[in-house]
Amino acid sequence: MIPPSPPVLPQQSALTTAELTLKDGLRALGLNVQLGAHWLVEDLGPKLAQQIDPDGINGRREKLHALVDSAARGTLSTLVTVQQRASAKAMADEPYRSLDFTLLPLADYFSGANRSNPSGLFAEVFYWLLRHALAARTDTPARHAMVHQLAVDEAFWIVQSAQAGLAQRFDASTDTDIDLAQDHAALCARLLRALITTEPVRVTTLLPWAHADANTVPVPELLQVVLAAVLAVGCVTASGGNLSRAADGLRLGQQIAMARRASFAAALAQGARDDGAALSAEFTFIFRHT
Amino acid sequence: MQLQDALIEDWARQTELRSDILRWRWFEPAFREALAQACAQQGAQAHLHDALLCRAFFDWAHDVETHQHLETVDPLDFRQAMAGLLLQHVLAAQLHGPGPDRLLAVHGAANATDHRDLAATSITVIVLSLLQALRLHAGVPKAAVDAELQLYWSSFLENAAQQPATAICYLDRMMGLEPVWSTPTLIGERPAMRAAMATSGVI
Repeated sequence: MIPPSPPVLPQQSALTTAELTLKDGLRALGLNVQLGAHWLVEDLGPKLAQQIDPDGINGRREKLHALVDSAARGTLSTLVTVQQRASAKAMADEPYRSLDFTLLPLADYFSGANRSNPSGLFAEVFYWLLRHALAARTDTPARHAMVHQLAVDEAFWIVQSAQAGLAQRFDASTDTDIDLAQDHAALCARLLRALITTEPVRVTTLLPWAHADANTVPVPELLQVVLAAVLAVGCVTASGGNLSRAADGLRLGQQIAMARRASFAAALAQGARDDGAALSAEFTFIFRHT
Repeated sequence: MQLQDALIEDWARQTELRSDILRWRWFEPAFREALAQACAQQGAQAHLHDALLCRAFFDWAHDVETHQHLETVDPLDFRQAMAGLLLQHVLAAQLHGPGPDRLLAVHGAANATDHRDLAATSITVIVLSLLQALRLHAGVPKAAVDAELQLYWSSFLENAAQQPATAICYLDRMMGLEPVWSTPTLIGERPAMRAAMATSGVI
């Protein structure tokens, strides 16, 4: 059941925006520290050693190479440790980091149970689902990408603004199971489109303090990552069973996202012409057979 | 070809088998278990490509939905057609994929031909076992598998690799039914369906 939309804030509060911007900045810093350290060890270190001793590792001064390599790896280790400690202090997130938490039915994330921060739970859960779905990808753009929690939060408000009519339908006691299933699929479709719009998964290869607009590039595989997260939660029912475990739900979401990406992409492409009907139908079909 | 009798009995006892079989959460673990048993029978192991199985499953579910209205015409033949469509999609994922990925990577067989044969045999055994379970579930005894299957086994694999829909015809032949080679995917054109429709005055 989707509860009625509460009289919540029409958009993100300035405090939430500031907090999420700070989190995203810290995470971008962390990613860049890792990428930079990797560059230090794999690229700069060997080049430096080569300049100092052109004979290379087969030459007479082999120890020098080992020294430069050791220095680079030591720096990497220090940088990563410092960054991890900073992140751990700022964000107590172990259950999310290990996917050891319970998923709720999708509508519950839009219930506004926390009136001071209606989008808080949604932004946290979907941030981590997206992050884990992204981490499962091994292609280069994905390795240089990160999830921006502020964009996840923005998606919440896009869906919420269109939610009022749907919430009233769920309130009506005359709704049949078919109506409820269709409304659930419509909510999933709306969320998928919102997440595609706000592009929470972006490549971050420049330092976060560089030009603000230049350091984020959408990932072409965005759909598969976002779809996995939406399906993970979309497949949870009130009697969730094993699937309400985040790890199980995300595994299922990733399987279906990989298998049905083309069908979802085609349905998304029709969105402008049919107001999302094809996308809702695709979700309905998937849930019927899951 | 040795079917999985214990699994067949176990599946057939499940009260919601007919609807559960079209649910990914039932199908995936059932397929995995049947695959492990089928490979063990042949002294081999197989690695299953999750995404390819999932794609084959949902493509199959889509095809079954398309023909759903025919189930009331002849429920038993509809189950046979369902199994044929499943064999078509799963074998296509094994033999007919666009890239190098295959549904099953079999280990433990002597050579590449054995790998191909083992994979196809395992898939066919699983689908035949599911079909037998569906028959038992519908209150109909298991059907005997064609004793001459080995005579056309190579032809079956070769044709299914080129034209996956022919798997439907071969499955009919394995179960002693008349295949419709010209239009295998038109379930309404199956002899039993046409006969049932004629009897009921639909055609």
